[in-house]
Amino acid sequence: MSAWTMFTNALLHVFEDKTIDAEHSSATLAVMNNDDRDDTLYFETDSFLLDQNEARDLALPNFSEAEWIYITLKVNGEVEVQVLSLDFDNVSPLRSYTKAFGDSRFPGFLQISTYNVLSIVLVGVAANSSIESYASVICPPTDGRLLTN
Amino acid sequence: MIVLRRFYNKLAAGTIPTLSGAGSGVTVYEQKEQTPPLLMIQKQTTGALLVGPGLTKILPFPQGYDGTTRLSAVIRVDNSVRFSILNSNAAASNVLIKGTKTQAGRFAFVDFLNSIAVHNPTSSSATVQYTLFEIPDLTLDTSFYGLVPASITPTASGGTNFVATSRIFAGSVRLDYTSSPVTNGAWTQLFASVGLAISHIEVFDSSGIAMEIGIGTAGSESRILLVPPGGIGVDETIAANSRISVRAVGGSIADVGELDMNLFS
Repeated sequence: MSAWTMFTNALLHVFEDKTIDAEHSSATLAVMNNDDRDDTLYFETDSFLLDQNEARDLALPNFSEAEWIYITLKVNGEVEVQVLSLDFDNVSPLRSYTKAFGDSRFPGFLQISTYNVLSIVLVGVAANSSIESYASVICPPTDGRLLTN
Repeated sequence: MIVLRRFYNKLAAGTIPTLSGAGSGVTVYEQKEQTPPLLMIQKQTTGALLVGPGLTKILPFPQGYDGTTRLSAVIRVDNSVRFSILNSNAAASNVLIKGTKTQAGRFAFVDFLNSIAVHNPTSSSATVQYTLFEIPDLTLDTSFYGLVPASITPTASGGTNFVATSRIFAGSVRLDYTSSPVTNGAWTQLFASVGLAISHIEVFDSSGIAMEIGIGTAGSESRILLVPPGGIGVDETIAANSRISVRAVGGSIADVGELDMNLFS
């Protein structure tokens, strides 16, 4: 199994392509690679370094709490994504600490699609962690803003 | 650009063609990422859970995963669900992951994990597809295919069966019965502790009577070998660090001659 190829294909697909490649054996990732719909309203890509314990807010254009957020990170080093959000009841607070770890030979990937988000902070776990980020606001295909944006 | 990307995605490692004509000048910036060494994954599991409305389920970890190494989790959902994750090095982590039937929700991360629970707070069922695999030590070349140097040069005749052809000397003792008589009462210690596990014993005995060899702590010895007058050499297994003693059997006392013992592991 080529975990790299699976991730890379999934990542390439997420960024811009709809190519379906068969170089994977994992059903989840196979299906993920075949997901052919990401209706994106806004997105932002960035590349930066984080030192150990250095924090960086992730700010999205036209972001609001009600939006559907989709984030992908590619990491050389180790970082933690801290998300403060609200639960399904729209009242109870939720906190999550999600990590990505990797190196130049096998980068770490982090994907998260969530909503009810109040804030997102990236924190370096390992010193000099290199991060490529793709953060977007996505929507259902029926969202009228897809035509007006 | 997309056509080019599709084309290059199909290429085997290291076969970067020269661009010319209409395609020249296009930077295929992801080419480097198409030819990495492949990771060797020892523990992996893939599956799907159907989580009914209001229910909570636990994602099964790969067989043998104990939370002491990093696990990569890749998860896809078709409904809004809440994940509750226990890490071995952080507080509990809770987050909603949103997906729909037409636009899947994704959740992928790497961490030391103790448990991943998924709760469906909605009024319709959620399908949770997952792939979990252990991340090996990325600092080792042996964690990747194709990076392992040839450390052993094969010979034409194959290997050597060293177990059958040689023994390793593990200790010896000589006991002069004239100066140190051995009776049939208390055991006389030969080795307080043999360091290695023993597989073979050779004993020469010139006392003229049968002797017995025993192992065990003082007062708790038990016979493992009867030594006839003259001696014996046999394969005998003795655990490492055992205490070895001798006692007279064929008479009340051995007070002439000597005992010589060699141990081999």
